[in-house]
Amino acid sequence: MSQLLQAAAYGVVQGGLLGLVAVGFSLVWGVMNVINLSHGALAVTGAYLAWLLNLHFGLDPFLALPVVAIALFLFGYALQRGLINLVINAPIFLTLLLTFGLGLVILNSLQLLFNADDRTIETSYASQSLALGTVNVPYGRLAACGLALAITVGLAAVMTRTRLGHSISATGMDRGAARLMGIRARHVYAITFGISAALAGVAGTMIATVGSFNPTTTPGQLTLDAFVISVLGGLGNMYGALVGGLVLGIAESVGGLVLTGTWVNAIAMAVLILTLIVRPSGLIGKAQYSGRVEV
Amino acid sequence: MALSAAACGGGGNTNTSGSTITFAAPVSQTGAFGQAEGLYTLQGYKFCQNTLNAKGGINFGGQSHQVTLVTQDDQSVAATSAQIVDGYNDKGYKFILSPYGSAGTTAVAPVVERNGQVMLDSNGADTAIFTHGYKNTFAVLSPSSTYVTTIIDALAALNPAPKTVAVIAANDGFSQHAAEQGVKEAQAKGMTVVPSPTAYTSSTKVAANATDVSPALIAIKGLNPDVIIVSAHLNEAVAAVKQASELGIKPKLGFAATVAPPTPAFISALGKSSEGVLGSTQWVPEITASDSIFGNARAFLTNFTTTFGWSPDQYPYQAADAAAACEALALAIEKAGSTDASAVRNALVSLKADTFYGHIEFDATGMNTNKPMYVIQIQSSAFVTIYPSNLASKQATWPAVK
Repeated sequence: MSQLLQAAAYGVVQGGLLGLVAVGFSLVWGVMNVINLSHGALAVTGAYLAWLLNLHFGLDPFLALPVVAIALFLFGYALQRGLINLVINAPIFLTLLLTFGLGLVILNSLQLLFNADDRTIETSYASQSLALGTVNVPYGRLAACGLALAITVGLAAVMTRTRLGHSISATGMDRGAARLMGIRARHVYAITFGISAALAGVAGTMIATVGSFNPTTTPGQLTLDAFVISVLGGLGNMYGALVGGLVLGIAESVGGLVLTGTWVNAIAMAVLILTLIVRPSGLIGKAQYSGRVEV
Repeated sequence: MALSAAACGGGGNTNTSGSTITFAAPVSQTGAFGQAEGLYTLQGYKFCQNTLNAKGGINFGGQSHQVTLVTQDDQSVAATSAQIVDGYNDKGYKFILSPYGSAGTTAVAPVVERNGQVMLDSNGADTAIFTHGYKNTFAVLSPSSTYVTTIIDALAALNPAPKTVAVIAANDGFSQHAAEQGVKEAQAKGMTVVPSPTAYTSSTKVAANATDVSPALIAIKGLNPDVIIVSAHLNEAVAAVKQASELGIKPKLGFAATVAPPTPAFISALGKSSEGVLGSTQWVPEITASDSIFGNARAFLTNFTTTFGWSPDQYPYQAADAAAACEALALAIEKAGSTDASAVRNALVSLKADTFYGHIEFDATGMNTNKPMYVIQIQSSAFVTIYPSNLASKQATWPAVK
């Protein structure tokens, strides 16, 4: 029983971390209908930035978060305005190709700059844990989970209570109508992509703090995780990524304990398939996002 | 070299230049092994090629032949390795240096056999490769059966020796076989394996290259083993050490792992958490072995690490495996006096060579079974040889867990 509780507790905090990885990816997919295959590369870029700040200035990764987020926001904004916007009306395959290629360019640049070694940000607390009886809750992942929750709530507030959020939502629902209302879609898209890149950078910083990262295998895994979680949680709801991440994290952790760890990927895919059979729009996604008008 | 001229102490080489000889290798430069093990293997091959050519190449028939190394990224996919080697055969490349890892080597071996190529296996240790009756695959490294058993032997020699061990194993053939033999050795040494002797096939089995091994760790939580042994590769070993700390799992004495600890990537991925971890290794620079190409083991270390910018305290042993495989192939070609693959294969069968890597001699299955393995411990971010005791450069820090 204690093993089951431990697995569940670990699954929750791991799920929060996964949700953090996916929230920016889900935002861009939901608003711009762009499946950003460079999301993992942006996350790893954030991880390297936080790692450098820690290495050279001793900056704690949590204190580095604002710097990473701002830098990645500016980078994401520029990418969208200067590059992705050029193909925003093109068939989805072209945006897939573009973002895939973009990811490769970023990763090869990182590999040239830092080589391919695994890196980690060492802190005194990330690998320690809070003992609750026989259950240990790792501080690092707990903090990442809390961050995911705070960011999701904050993002939901921005989307529902601010002019910027309404502009983003409106553009995501019907770009043509949004333009008629005076919304500058190009600028809104760039801000959305910038926010997504900033969130990717935050997630990358957390990955670097609780685990390790490298420019060859980490980005692909993060992008795949983000894709699965976005589909599982559903688009069009700011809480979709968090819910998807939590469900996936718990399923993998508890399922891995019951069926052994080699079943983890199969369990994740089984949960995804079952969810899509019952709810094609994802756990809490909005069906309207599959039938929106693009002008 | 050439090889024989240098071996006899001759300094000059009066041979004329002959045709170049191609060594071909499918080596991982991307994918799961791309950032570490594949890179080290590739560097070992390159270092061998450069050193061989600097020494005059391979000498036979009154001519010295330079070596050309052809490589292609197999993306850490075994099937791709096999396809690449098939393509090499179409181009007439008969001399193959193995990809990194047992999976890739297992896939390539039947291709080599079918095509009449000859493969020197540098980093595929799974003994299953050598149970198919292949005639053209020869491994310079110790087999998978010795990876965990050597760790157990080293642990048994430490004070205090562990009474209980837990074995986490990846679900690839190499890791499972290493774990199986290690569990037997542990039981033979009077150690208790928790949660059960067969747990490495079920509750403590993890997916190969997994970065999350928490289910296996949770399965041993509360059992408080003296030592946790990870029979796997880099990703799993890094995850095990990190996540054990997160989950409050602390072995009483320490961690040990195959493959990963004696690699620079293990230290860069774990930082201070890598301190004290034991690891079995194929080669250490303390061995008293030498040859006319690389010099002695210490000289190999110095020259290799200088060439590729590694710290001599953090040398990748996989590069020594790779260089030794390349050297064995060169020696066999010179012995055969020909580049005919069949003649070179026959020369390998009867090859007996003392090298910087130790003695190389293949048994009937193609394995270099007499070569011992060694155990290092990470101390102050350096690989310190601790087993066997006659090669130990320092005493083990034990218990490693404070």
